Amino acid sequence: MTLSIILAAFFGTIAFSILYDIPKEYLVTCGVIGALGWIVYAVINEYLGNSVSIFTATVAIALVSRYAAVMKKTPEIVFLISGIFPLVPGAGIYWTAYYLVSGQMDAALSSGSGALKTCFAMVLGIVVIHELPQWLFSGRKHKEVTNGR
Amino acid sequence: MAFEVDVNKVLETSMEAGKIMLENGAEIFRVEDTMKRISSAFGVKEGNFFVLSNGIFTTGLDGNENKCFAKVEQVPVHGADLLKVIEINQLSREICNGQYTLDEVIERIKNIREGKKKSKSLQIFATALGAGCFAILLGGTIWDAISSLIAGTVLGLFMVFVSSKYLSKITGNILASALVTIVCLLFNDFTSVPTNMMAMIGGSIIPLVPGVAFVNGIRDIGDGDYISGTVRLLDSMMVFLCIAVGVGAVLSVSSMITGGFVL
Repeated sequence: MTLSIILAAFFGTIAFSILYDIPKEYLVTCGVIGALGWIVYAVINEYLGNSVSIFTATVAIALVSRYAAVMKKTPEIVFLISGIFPLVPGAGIYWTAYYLVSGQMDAALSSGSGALKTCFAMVLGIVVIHELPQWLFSGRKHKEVTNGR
Repeated sequence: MAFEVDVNKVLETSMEAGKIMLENGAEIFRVEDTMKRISSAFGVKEGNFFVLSNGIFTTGLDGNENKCFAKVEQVPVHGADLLKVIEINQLSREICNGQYTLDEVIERIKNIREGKKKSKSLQIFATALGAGCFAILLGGTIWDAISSLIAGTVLGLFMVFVSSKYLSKITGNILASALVTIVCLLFNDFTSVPTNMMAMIGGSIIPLVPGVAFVNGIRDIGDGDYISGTVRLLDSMMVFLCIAVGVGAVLSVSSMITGGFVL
């Protein structure tokens, strides 16, 4: 993995944060989270394969996003969406659809199941981090009880 | 009860806040939570909110149980403007601290809804930058990134000036992806640098990928909001299918003409 890839992840994340109209003061944080997620993904992908690496990267992104959300008093979704964007199997799902359209069923099946696994790994990663109690991040217990989630 | 609560007005206000959040890409549980906080901060005890990805259902009772409120509102699936989600979230924090009267809140929500327009040139720049960066992430070389950057600029211009104004989502996505494929093919044919078509096209279409809808769909499924999560994922699958149709059509026409290029 070279510096150019890390820079690409950083600036790519920032570009999409701009498209989603995230305010300027959060852009660098979003970029750092995106690059971090990609580094984790790329390193683990070398050894343990796609699903595990997506899961681990999602866990890292969700963890940092929750922390950043508390630090900056902002909805976590701001950091989570932009940070996880590079990992979204956009290209994978697109190739699946492309193979379907062009009638290459075997290729469609393999890239489709890959994309599905990626989605599921992301769900698991996000859920795991969401189970952690809020005081781990804010250092104090929340005053109001939310609706149980 | 010491003071009279205007249930209609409070729930109407919290519904408007919820609607802005939902339209602009907040998760279902955050919308429900915000509405609950706003209404209970203004003294409505029995507010019930049921939120789907494209609709909000609200009922409420005031403390004396002699006034009730019920409303259903349809919220069309919209773009993503996370700035508005952040602002409403901040507003609801401030409301919980008791900083505002109801009328001030209504005024603030109106201001947030109108908001400021996104700058067009910034949007085009971000589209181009995103396309270029993702070409590298998908394994392309610097040349692929440059061609994706050019295709991304064309795409940004098309999205800002044509598809967002005149076209529906489906036609807009098909035409936009066809356009970027044409640009990539031209780059491939008229320059002599070695190219990686997969990275080039993959990077250029990334700005069309509905990231917010997709991640929110996953989030909602994680939270147990299966209906909304499925709808949002289906919405993003639809976009992917449109992109594939656009790219596939151009590639097959070009391979018919040139007889050569097979992906």
